[in-house]
Amino acid sequence: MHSTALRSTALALLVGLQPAQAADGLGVAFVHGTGAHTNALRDYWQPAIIDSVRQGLPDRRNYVVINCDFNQYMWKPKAAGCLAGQLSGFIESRGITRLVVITHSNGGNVVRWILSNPTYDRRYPKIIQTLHKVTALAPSSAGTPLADAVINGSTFETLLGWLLGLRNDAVRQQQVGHMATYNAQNLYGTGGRPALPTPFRVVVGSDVDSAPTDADSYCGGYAANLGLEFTRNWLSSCSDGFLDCSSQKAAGTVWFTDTARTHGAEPLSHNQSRRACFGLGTLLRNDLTQ
Amino acid sequence: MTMHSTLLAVAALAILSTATTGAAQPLRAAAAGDQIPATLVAAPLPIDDESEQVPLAFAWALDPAQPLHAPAPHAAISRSYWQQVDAAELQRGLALPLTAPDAVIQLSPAPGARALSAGSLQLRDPAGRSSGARSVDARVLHDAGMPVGDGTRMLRTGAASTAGIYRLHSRQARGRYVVQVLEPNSPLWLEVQASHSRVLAGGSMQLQARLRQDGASSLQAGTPRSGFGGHALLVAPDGRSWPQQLRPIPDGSLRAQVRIPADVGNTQGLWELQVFAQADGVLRDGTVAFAVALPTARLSGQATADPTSRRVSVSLQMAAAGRYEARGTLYASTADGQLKPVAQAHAAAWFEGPGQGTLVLPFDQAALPAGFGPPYELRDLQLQDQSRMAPIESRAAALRF
Repeated sequence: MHSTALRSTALALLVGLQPAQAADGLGVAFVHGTGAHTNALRDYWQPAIIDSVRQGLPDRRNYVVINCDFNQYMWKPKAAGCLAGQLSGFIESRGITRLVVITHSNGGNVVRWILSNPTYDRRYPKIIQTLHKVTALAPSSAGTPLADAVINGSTFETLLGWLLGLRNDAVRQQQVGHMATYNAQNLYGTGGRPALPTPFRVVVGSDVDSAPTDADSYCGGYAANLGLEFTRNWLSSCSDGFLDCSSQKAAGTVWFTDTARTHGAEPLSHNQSRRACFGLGTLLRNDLTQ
Repeated sequence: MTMHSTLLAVAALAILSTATTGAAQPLRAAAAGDQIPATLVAAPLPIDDESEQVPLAFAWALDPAQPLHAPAPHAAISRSYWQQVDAAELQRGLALPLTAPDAVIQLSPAPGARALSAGSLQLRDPAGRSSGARSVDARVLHDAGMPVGDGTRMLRTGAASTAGIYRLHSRQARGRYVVQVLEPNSPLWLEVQASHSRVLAGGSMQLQARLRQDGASSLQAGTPRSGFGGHALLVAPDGRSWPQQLRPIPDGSLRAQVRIPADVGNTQGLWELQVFAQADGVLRDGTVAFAVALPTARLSGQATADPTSRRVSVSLQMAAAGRYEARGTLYASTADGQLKPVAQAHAAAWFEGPGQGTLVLPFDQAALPAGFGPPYELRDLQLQDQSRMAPIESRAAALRF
């Protein structure tokens, strides 16, 4: 049999080069990390950083906050499929010709899935073509030992299912060994692998302040930083409390490490790197048109 | 990693049948490390299959100055161990061997087990005294982004703690628990590595585990430790598992030859090899992950390449319906004959069932850097089953044209 696909009628997707430099076509999409969100603006990012960043747009309405189920494996319809749908809708409805994606944590892996697998979904090529750059805030590109710590010991039992009941595929995916394999086979942009078709620039969080007497510990929520101070024991000396710096740097290029650019050279914990802490919003805003 | 220039293109596959000119030529002979199916098997599509039906192709330019290399299989490093325990063990006092100060102990209740408060847990040090360990609950860990199960508690023994056998007590324990111990300051670590990061169903791979010690003045870093033993478990994404026998070998490590079942199920995700090791009272567990593919298709061994257009047609044989993708890297020659990576191309299409097919890699859609030209090489040619998320075939060096 010669594939019917080869004889099928044309998919009219022959897209030529399109520099897409119109400033008024500039848009920004905020892509959350692990979790199933219906209001990521409120529950994941908080309005302060969204509003700060979109002030840098020629048309401040050209932004979208993505709400998808990133508890799934990155390639699943509810994860990358949902992201592709919302990005495509945003591009279409707002006439976006130059898209900047700002993503956090595991959102970087879902975005990287789209960039690395352009033939997986008919919506991916147009998204990649429109994408000007990705700014990945503390991406979990090489996974985290904390994911291993959540999954370890959860054996499968016929009557009970997974012992700890944590069949969260996004957590499973972010185990260190799993991300190593996905990076080697399914994803691009890590060392020795082909580059991604779009710049993927990383902001690295390198430390956690959690002293109750330090006002900086309260940006993003003190309780969150207290937990990070505890979980960082699973991590190396350079970490944001959830991810080793080496994981954050594993794919793409480093735009900056927190203390090099933040107000007061403050570090960005994993929660602070998605909040308007220490001038991060301004840094992202000023970078939009670069 | 940086891009030399971004050049994006999508090509309609309606022109596939006339995409390349020239005579078909055989792909290069398989080399060590290549994965090539010997026979094909039919397989159903996943129940929730939502594969794309539209043929797509895509290419982009690579920076020739950025060398590419195949990553080695991941080597897992572990300074932790875990175990399932029942309430009676915690009521008696669960023995936890620790080798260094400031260990972290994580206690997670199984379904139906009682969550234990800070006040109901006692950790006693090797001298039998209360260790004074600090602890946090699941809410604090959730706030930190760690999605532990409800009722989970994490304790730290503290920087002043000593090595030895600790005991974790709780008279209120009911049901089963998973207890996990991390020793971030321990000089003892387990290294686990599989021989491959992908394998075909029914194939085999080798697993190796080493216990290492570093930082000790009396031992060289990385010296194997004596009295080392353990066992391993092969775990499928659907939860099925198969015990594996680890045998000691003369260099002090443990090794297992692992046979992958032919029936790999249809649950997506990676397989795991889990190693549970001990030596002189030291416990360490580690896990590596790898992909398993059913050989539902393969490259037929023939390709047609046109050095003028830089389009490469690869022929496929399929035994099962599905969406298949070919991907590869084009290397071009410099004036002095060096080959450098210049473009990456993918092509995928839906195929209805058993038979033949062709996919065309449109390298012509990515501009060739100045100073580069033929002869070309197609490297890292892969065939993926996108419907089953399976890397079926890979060839490090496929074609020269």
